Amino acid sequence: MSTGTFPTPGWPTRGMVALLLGLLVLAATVGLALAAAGHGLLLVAEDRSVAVAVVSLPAPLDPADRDGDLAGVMALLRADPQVGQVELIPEAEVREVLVGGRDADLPMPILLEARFDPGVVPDLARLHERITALAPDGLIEDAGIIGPRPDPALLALLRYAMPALGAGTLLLALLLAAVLTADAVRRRHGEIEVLRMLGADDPFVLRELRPYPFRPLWLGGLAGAGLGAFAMLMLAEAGPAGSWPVQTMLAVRPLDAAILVLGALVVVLAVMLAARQTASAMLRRLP
Amino acid sequence: MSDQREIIVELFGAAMKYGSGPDVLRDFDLTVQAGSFLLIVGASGAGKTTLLTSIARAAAPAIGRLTLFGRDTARIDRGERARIRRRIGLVCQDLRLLDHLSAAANLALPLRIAGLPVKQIRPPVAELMEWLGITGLAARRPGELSAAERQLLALGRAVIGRPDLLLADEPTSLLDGPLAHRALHLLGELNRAGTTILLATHDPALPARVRARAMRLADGRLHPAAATASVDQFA
Repeated sequence: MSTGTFPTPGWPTRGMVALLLGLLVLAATVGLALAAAGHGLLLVAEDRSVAVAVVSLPAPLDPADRDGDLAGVMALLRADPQVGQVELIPEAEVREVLVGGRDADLPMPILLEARFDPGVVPDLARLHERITALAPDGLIEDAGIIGPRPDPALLALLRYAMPALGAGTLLLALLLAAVLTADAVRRRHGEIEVLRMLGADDPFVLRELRPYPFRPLWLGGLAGAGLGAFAMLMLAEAGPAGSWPVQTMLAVRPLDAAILVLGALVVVLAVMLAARQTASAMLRRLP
Repeated sequence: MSDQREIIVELFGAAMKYGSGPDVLRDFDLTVQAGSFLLIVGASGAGKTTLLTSIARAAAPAIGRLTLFGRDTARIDRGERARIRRRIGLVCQDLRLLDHLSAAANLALPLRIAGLPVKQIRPPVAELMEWLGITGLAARRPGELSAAERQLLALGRAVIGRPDLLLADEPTSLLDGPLAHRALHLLGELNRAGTTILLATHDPALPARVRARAMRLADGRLHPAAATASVDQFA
């Protein structure tokens, strides 16, 4: 029969606080959704990135020695389980880079480009040991990574700021819901006393008076799920200001949307649980 | 020959206070047997409301002992206390209706608290509203009713669950002659059906209208007072 009376109509301050609670739930849902989505996309980006190393063999004094070391090192690299592709960098290209294409008689070092399998973090020290066993003066250097690499700022935002935002706003929402519920129970002390006089137990009192901020919680949760889905779509499809390198690689699938709605539901239920526990505790404290 | 009826209410050496104020009743004794109709008459401030609400709370007094239906209220848990309260009907002097509920919903509260399903609640609610003459007001909220209608509603809420014990604090103070008579007649019927009734009033003329044992509450103690005619003579 009761429709619940939280927040009390006609009290702007309490209405504003309830609105704030809804916004906190919304922010928590969006923050956690973006953190989860961003983390997933970052994992994909890492999986698809390729580490590159350059192996350098000294310029041979005797051209006959060149093929011996080169063939051995190439065979070694190709047999390595982490290495996906090995290519000899043409001597002309090396000469162009090192001496601008001049001094055609000057011996050039032999350079090999090794591309590792996607997602592999190469163990260069181990490879260096194996190379020097064949060519004592051989070197291997990290030449960076090719493929999708997110902006470091975006990486920090998604990996650290969004979870912190989600968890922080969820904590604030829990506290605010507890404070609002405690206030509602205090304000309705008279009605609670009447119900108790009639023999009502605490669960009945809670069902009857519903001193919980139901409406802002559900509205905030629903809005959070919607906005979170929208933000995930933007993140996956467009990327923020072109800094996202895995555009169009992923789409938000129905399962993702379902998980997002469940996430919003969990946030709302967590806040409601806090409110209900507070109400129960308050009722136990009332005479 | 001794009276072997069950003792419904027993107060022994009890100290009771109104709200957080000083004790209104001290070293107070009272024994009420099943089926009794006890009228407590006293001036305003004599402690009538304190006495009835203290019994209705079913909570142990700070000093002394309160026993309800044979159970010492100092030795019962919250669940037992709620069950005892469900056996008690209470008409408060300030009515204590729930403003956010309709008249019918207020009336139905004790039955809902007792756990009755909706279809078993509607018939007695409709019947009692008709009996009280407030059928057309079922959907209205207490704030939309007259003082007399609110008092009838509070009386109806107290009796709808056919309580074993009815505590009525000035139940006719807002009712005019015919309505007051109707209310007293209802209480008489309930008592004949087995409900034990404690009725508190400041109206010295009321004992003349109710077939009941009357006691006068003064100086924190109960004193015998004259009991008189039956309400039936006004029927």
